[in-house]
Amino acid sequence: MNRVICLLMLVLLSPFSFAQSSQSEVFAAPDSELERQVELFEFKTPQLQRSAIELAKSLRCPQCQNQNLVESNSPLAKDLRLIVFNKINSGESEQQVIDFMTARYGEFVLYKPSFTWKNALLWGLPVLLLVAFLFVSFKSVGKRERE
Amino acid sequence: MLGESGLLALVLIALLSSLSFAHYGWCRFQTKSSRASLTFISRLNAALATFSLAVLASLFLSDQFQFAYVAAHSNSALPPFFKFAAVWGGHEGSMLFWVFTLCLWSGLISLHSMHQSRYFQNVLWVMSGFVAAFAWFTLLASNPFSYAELFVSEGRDLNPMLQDIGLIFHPPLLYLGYIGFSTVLAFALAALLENQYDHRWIEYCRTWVISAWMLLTLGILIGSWWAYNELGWGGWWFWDPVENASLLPWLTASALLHSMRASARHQQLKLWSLSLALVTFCLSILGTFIVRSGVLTSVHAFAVDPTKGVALLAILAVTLLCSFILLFKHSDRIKSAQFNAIASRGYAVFLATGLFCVATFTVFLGTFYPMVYELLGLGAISVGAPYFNALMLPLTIGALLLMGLVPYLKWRKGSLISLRNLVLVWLISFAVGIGCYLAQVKDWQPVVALVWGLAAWVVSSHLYLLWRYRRLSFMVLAHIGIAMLCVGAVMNGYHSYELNRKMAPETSIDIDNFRVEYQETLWYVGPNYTAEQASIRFSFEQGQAFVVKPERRHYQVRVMNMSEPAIYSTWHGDYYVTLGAKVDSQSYAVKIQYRAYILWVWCGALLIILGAFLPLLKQASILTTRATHGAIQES
Amino acid sequence: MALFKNRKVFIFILLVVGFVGFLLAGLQSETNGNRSQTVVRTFPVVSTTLLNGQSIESASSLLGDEYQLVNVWASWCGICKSEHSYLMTLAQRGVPIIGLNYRDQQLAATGYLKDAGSPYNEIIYDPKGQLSIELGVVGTPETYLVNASGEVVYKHYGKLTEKAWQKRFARYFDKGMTL
Repeated sequence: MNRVICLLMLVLLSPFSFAQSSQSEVFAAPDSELERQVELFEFKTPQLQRSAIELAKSLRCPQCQNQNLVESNSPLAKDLRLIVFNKINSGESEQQVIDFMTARYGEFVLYKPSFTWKNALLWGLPVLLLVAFLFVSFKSVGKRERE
Repeated sequence: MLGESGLLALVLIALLSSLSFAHYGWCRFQTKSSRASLTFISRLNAALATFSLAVLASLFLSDQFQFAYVAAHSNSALPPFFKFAAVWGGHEGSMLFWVFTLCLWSGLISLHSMHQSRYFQNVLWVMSGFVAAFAWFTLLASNPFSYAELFVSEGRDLNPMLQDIGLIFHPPLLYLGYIGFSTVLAFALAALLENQYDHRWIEYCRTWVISAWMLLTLGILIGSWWAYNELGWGGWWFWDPVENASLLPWLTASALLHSMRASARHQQLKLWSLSLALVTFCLSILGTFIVRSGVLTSVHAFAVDPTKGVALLAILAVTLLCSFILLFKHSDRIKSAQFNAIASRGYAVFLATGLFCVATFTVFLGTFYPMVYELLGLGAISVGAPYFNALMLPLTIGALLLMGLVPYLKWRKGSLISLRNLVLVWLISFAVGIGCYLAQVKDWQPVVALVWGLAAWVVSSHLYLLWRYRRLSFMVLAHIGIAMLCVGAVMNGYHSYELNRKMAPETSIDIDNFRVEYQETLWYVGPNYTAEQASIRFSFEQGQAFVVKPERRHYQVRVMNMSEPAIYSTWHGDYYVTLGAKVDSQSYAVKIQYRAYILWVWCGALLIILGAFLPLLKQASILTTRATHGAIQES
Repeated sequence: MALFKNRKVFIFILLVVGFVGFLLAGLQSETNGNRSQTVVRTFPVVSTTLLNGQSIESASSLLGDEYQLVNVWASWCGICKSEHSYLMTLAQRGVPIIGLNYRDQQLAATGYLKDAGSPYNEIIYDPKGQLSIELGVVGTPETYLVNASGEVVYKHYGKLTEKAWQKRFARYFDKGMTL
């Protein structure tokens, strides 16, 4: 009996080998129709394809461990990728796609943090630090020259 | 029997290092006697650690699945090559590798000709402190020799993503580098422990900094190369928290390499060198904490119990506090010389150090900001590639500018050639660089053109240095390497493209100036997987042709599907083909990517590493000359 | 102790303690990733199908009670299975639960409910996850607390336990429904 339980546990545990949140599961049977659509998507122009892929790379898959929509193979990522492709292909702007995503998943899915006051420190501190360093180092040289 | 001996060796290391640490500390600082020597114990620990690691490896190679760690990461069908690599494929084994590396570096220090001196004994003392801390951590919180709770006759196999040649080399090299910085910290701290701060620690330390830095660069390079080859979509740097964790000490170590130049010969930037030497290993500890604690979400992270992170945090806190409080104690007495002029190599080196530190700060901020945001209750936000790329770009441009200038500047003041000639050379190199770029592409980008121009200037400046002094140096190779890497990186970012097409055997498609034919699909059985392999032929107008064979593999034990890309490299780009989903009985969705200039990224990095070899070779030749002429005490 | 008189040292110690404390807090934090409260405030007003095949004009027409739960589940989801018995007890107490069958197959889903019992008053069938995208579903199981006007009051990630129920949901329902 114990051996059966052990074997059963092994079989059940074997797919869960990644570092995953223990709170929820993300496995589902892959939809081959969806896969076909997203992997063989035809864009009207190469420029549209390029900007769609760039945009998809800057969007985070909401259910993955830090992967963008292009990297991830989860069903949700493929769905969202298809949505991004469709929207860009039909002429929508990047901002519209971003708004669509954030309306449903929040700012979490943006790999490029927004330029708002909330993120002022994030964008500003490195610049401030660089300027401060340049200023201080410049002054430290001037000191000797004046002597 | 064998497994227990490995565990015993680990226990011995922990005990010996703690006892000798305490004993030496007591002798040196309480009784002021100078009879305690750590040389023998350092060498003994190195031998024990090698033994312990070898035992673990043999457990893997002989399929000892009664050990939990072996059972979790191996399988009898796993090729022996990967069984060996699985030793460091999981958390416990990699911690044992940490201890091994610490002991190894410590043992190497004990081989130094001056190991008997009080200064070097202090260095060994600091190292033994770290060995003790990490040995106890490994023993108590991540023991690779613990028994499995369920006895299984077959292991769970190594994660297929890790079954690649890159895995054999990436973690060990990374750890060798990471932990090599412990020696740097030890040298700096030992200097601070002397009553009279002695500045010569930098001279002793230089070889160790360069070695550790070189190994870390190589480790990061291989990791990047491995990701590019394995992950199937052609990226080589993702700004993932774990990658950033390895980048942080690399950046401060690079800053240290620069400030050390100023400190060793010109008595400048002493406090900078000390701080950087101390902070680099702290960042290594922080890095290992990030990877193992799960505090940051990452694809790389080991799946570990978060409470193990607490012990690592404690080690980090103690290291930080001891190092910097000691530094503060001495800081008033340490005076550095000033820089004489703005137009001087010295000041340029100072700027370089500063740029690296700003880069470190940026990566640090971007990596931890989401965590701060969330803890403050402001919600969830992500910081990824767009942020880092945007902020690194101006720093890189600045760095390239400086690098191009530096060969013409004298250390104290003034330049080697007249200002008019300088501007002339700059203009010509810039034009040549941009010209090379424009000749290749139709839709040019200003950023890319700028980088090409600056890179050409860096190369021409260093070739001038080579011509004038007839001497190949670390700086020349490293800077040219970086210029190459920057060109590769921007070209790859802006001029790569991809195509997705449905293809079946006997079909072909025409793209631009080449044709892609899907020849056939083969089925075969690998050691621990089954695979479908496509044969795809590229033929070009100019007559050139090649065949690539991408695969889709199914690993039975872990029930995972992996897509193995096939890559054909040329100097100007890689043709990167992946086999996607099967769309009907015969056809697949084939993704064909052109990854521009990726070879320049790898070659640039290799040049940098080659550059680091030069001072190491020189040091080695000095040592051998000394050995053949008998030991001569340095004054 | 003379060290502490030195201001620089004192500030540095504070910084280190602060940084380590911050990392510790990060370790303790239950959230790991997108666990902030729901972004979507209104239940999607899209047409959808039910598991029994019936199609309805607007998903929000299912929201008949003052407060109800919308539970996202699937037959392939192991954690959902462990949550199932608790949902059954809630349903028996009279708590209205609407199921949202996520990226599942109809046969598998109906078969599962036939064997294990159904705590759901209605079950939305979302094999392609379209409604779920509108709702901002990230994984399974998830449980939403929605009121009659379609307002999403609270989103619970992961398995629904008695503890979470008492803490977050119980106050919206009659005393008789909570024990």
